[in-house]
Amino acid sequence: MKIVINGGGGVGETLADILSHEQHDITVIEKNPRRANALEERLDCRVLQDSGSSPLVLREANAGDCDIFLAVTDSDEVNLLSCLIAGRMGCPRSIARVRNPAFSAADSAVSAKELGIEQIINPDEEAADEIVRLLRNPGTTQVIPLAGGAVLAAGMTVPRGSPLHGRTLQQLHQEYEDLRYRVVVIHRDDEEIIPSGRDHIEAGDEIFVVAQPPTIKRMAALVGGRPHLEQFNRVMILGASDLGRRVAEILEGECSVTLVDPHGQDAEGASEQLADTLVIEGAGHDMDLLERVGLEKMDALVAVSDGEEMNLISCLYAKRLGVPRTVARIERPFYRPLMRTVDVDAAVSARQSTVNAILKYVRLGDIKAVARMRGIGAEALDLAPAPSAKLLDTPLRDLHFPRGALVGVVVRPNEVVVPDGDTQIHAGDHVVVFALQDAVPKVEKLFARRNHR
Amino acid sequence: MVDRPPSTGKDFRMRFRLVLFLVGMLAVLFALNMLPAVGWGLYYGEDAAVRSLLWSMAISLAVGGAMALLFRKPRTNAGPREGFAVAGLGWIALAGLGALPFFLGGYIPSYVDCYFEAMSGLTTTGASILTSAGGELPTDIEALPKSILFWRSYTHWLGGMGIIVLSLALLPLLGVGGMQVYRAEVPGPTADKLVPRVRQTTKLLWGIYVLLSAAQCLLLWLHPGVTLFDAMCHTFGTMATGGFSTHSASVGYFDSVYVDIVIIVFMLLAGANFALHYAGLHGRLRAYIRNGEFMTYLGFLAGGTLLATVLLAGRTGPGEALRQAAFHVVSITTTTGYTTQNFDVWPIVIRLVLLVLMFVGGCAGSTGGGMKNIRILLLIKHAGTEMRRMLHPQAVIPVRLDGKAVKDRIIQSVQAFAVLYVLVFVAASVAMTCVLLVWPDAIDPAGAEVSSDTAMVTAVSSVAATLNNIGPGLGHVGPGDVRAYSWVPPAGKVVLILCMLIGRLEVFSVLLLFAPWFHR
Repeated sequence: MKIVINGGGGVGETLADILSHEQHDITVIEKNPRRANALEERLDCRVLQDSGSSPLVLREANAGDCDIFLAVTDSDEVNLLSCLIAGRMGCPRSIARVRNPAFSAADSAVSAKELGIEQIINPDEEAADEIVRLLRNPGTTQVIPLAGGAVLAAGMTVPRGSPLHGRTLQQLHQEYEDLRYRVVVIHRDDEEIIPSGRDHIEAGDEIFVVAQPPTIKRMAALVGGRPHLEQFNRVMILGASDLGRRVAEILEGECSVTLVDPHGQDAEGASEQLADTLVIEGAGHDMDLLERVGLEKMDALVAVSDGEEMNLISCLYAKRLGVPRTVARIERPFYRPLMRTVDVDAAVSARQSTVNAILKYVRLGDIKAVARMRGIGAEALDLAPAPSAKLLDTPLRDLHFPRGALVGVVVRPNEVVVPDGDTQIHAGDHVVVFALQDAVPKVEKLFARRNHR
Repeated sequence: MVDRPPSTGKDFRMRFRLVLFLVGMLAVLFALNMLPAVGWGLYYGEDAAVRSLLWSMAISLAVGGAMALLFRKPRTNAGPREGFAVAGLGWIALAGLGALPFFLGGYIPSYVDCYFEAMSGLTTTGASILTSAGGELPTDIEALPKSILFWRSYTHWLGGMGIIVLSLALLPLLGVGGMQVYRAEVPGPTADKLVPRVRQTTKLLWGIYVLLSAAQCLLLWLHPGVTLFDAMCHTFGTMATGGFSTHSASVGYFDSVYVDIVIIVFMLLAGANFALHYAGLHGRLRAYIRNGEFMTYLGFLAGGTLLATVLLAGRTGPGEALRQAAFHVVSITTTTGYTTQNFDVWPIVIRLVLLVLMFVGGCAGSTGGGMKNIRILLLIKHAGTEMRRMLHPQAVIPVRLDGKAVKDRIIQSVQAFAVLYVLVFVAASVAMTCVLLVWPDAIDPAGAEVSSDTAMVTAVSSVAATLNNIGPGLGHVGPGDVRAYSWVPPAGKVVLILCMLIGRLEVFSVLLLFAPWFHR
């Protein structure tokens, strides 16, 4: 596919990186000369150093001739305008990142379709959805919905003293026969393992489990070594940014929400918008204040202010007070490894959520990876076997599946199955395969897809 | 990997394993390219030559294969450092392997001479240690087996568009790092991509190259006096702007206006930017006219031809003068180095102009050598804007090319290139002069006195002819001396080999290998 990306910031660069590795022809438009140089140096793509809202530049980028146009600059206006121009030039599909919620709201005055834009992605909404998914699934580090949400792939950190420690996957299957799940990836130190039955789990691993939502909850409790994990009734959110407000808006119906922000104006604005949320004007590092508001009684702390360091520190402090669940917004990838050492349960990045959301739409119709696990080279691929494919109607245990790949989910027309060794794949099924990058071509061969590239 | 923390520290050290792996893969690819020569050897029944070629192939495969297996592809990508290292070391190694067919069969007794010939071939220089005295000396051109001559010309063709660029097109090895390696081999101040992906670009470039070569080969073959063998060898020499011929008299052997014209046209095309040919093949013929560099290139060619024609007209009549002038001006400027007669006896003014044109060379993104027209153009334009700035100290005046402002960064890099190029030229000229002083008998073994003027002209022009990848120079390395480069003392050959390499890889890649901070 020919893809033009307007904006070479964090999101644009990540998109260009992933998509160029998938052999797409990428053109990136980036205004900042230094960034443009860096991109050209690092990525196998064409880089135009110019303003992406100019029709002349868009013409030079062949925006009219591309298959999909992605506008991900920092400016809503530039993104919308460039999508409109690209559409007029004849580009069939365009996706814009727009932070202003007025464009993506259901009752928006003008819909994306009316503007001729295929999809408007709001980074705050994407990140907020992810935070809520994390809160609703206690004990998880990442939650990726598969097959339209019928099945989840969830990351869980194995603590010291977990009953899973030292067991092989085969042993676990025998011990917990009633649970239908599949461990698809084990993330140990800096290594990723696509496990077989003989692989074992160690304390400190991050394991990715595929199962239906109720099973995920039970698995998370099991991994944590507790009978069950508490539901959350009280949540504190630090930072009344668009993201913080959005999370509060979703949650305020189901639990009590306290929103803390140091800026009077933001706090005021949030209080007007959120009727059932307690909004407090105060700083995230004002520990006196936080204790007075009852931080230690909270079931979860969501730190989503713009200061990433502050988010990490607030979570650390909350953990010391005994708050069971902490979620921090961390945009910079190199803060991630710190997360485990400082005991933050889960991290969310608006940038990463945006990338994932955009990739989902880019790949719509093109059968390819549905998700990438954060911080991990493994990916989930949605594949449909060709009618003549070899693997059809054979139990999975008898298939010689390539190393570094395994079947996570089988999606049938009217059911979603988490497979075991006896499961067979039939014509018409979809399969979600988890694979390391090296194994992807072999897997694709096995499915012998015919006319897809 | 999407969101991994950027690796630190490691990035600043050279990934030697990766470099050695890639050089090994280059060697394997290179070895497979000896097959066509083997084919000609079988066709002509040259058993000894075939054996020599097959042994060379086996050695290259073994060495390259061992390196590739030993340093199996590490999971890292090439950075700029690795790109330059692969280009520099790769060319040095491949010339070593390319010399084997000459050496193993004993066709050229000294390995230094073999290496000189192979490096001259790969860098598309065309300077030869083979003599053209008509079979009296052991290493006469026409005395060599056809398959060895084919290999000699074929190295031109491989080196013209670049063996690394070829490997990028054929092997999906380099992933993201491809751009860095590509840039190290493609001539010109900026290595532009025709399409977003490097690999696609390299395929297109080789596609155009093959297409033009096929066209020229066919046109030459149509002439009754040219065999398919000669047509192919001279196509390689032309399209790569190399200059090796299969005959002592070079292109003069055919003595045909038709052959001269075909070769002039294709030398001209080979010396132009292949990105323009890409546009041209897509029907955008106006791209040629709108391109400032191409017009400068034509300007140099037309000016040089006109001057030479006028000065030669008195001797031979205007028609013949135009033919000779056009052929040699185009041959020298595009850095091909084919000759049809001894231009060293022409008036001194023409010889001087030819010497200057040697440095101008072809265009960026072509197979030609020299400093490249675009650099000359940018340097002159930049000097012009500097003068205007003197009048208006506060004016902001960019250097413009094709209606666009050229970034300062590029101007700076062109200036640095020019400085280094001239420095290398001066240093090598001094070295060559010293060599001739130390071995005074080399020029004339009979012991006759050689005037210091001739020695000087020979030394300087030998450096100009190799650094700019042309081949024939003036004086005793010119077309007037049947011994070509064979008389040059070994030390001088080493200097010239380095000049060829530095010229082909455009100074930076080679000098970087010797820079102390490169290895830190």
